[in-house]
Amino acid sequence: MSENSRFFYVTYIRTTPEKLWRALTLPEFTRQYWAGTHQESEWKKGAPWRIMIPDGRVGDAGEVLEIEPFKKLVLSWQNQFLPAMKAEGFSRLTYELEQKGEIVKLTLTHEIDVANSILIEGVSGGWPELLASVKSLLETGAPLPGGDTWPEGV
Amino acid sequence: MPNSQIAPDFIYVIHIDAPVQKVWDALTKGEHTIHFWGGKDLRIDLRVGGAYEFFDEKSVGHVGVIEEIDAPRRMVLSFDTNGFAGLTEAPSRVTYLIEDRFGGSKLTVTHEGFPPNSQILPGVQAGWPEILSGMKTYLETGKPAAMNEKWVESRRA
Repeated sequence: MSENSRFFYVTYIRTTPEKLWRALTLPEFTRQYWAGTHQESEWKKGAPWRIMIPDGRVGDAGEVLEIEPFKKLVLSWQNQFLPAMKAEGFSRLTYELEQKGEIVKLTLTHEIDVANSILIEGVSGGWPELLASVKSLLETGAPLPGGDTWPEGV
Repeated sequence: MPNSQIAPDFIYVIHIDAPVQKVWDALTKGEHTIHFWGGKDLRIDLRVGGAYEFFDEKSVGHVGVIEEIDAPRRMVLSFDTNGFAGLTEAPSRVTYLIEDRFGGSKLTVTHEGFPPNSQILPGVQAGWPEILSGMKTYLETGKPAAMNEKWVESRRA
């Protein structure tokens, strides 16, 4: 029996694949809705990748496993600043973007080969909020309130 | 997710920049559902034991009965596809939970009670994200979900 924890989520956003891709990866967008963080990577297969917390700590790190611009991005992802999560090792995050008329279908899978993963439990709460916020940003011009701030005490 | 409980067949969380009452109204009034629920209107008797049905000009969609209601925050309803696509299974159960989040809403939709190898569950799992994404767009922008626009236009004509 394989040990695996998985979070799966689909959302539909009135935008283009290119705009959504940029919003998911570029600092000028992620700082607005992703708790003030930004990502650093050369965005090529095999390149390192990390999320930077506003205070300078590394939040999560890994590498680009697969990349088809505006269609599919697969990252390895290990939490860096919470010891119990870091100990679980590398998870795998997949974004798939599919254009359907005026709408983009975004499918997100975040999984790790660990049973009852605390990382996956944590991101299961975070992802719906982040994706709702990027949807609001792209559709209304504003993210959900508070999206630009890293939570206190974390 | 609690380790010792059986996970529901489907659970979906969506955050919406609209107050709890507006999300409740969008889920329970046909004047709103036509804009994002596959173009379907809604008749509903908002009390325990009350019946509901989604419908459009051509047909009745899914139907059911309200099992628990605590307006505007929580409702449990049976869900019966009413022979859609020739499929018949025992009704399943939907729970809406709408929580205030600093003036906005966190909506959790739980759908459970499907039999093993359910023929209906895959369609349900695909349908909810589309409907709820459309509802969020409708509540935040006032625009109907794109796939509904043709239906709304034809209704106005």
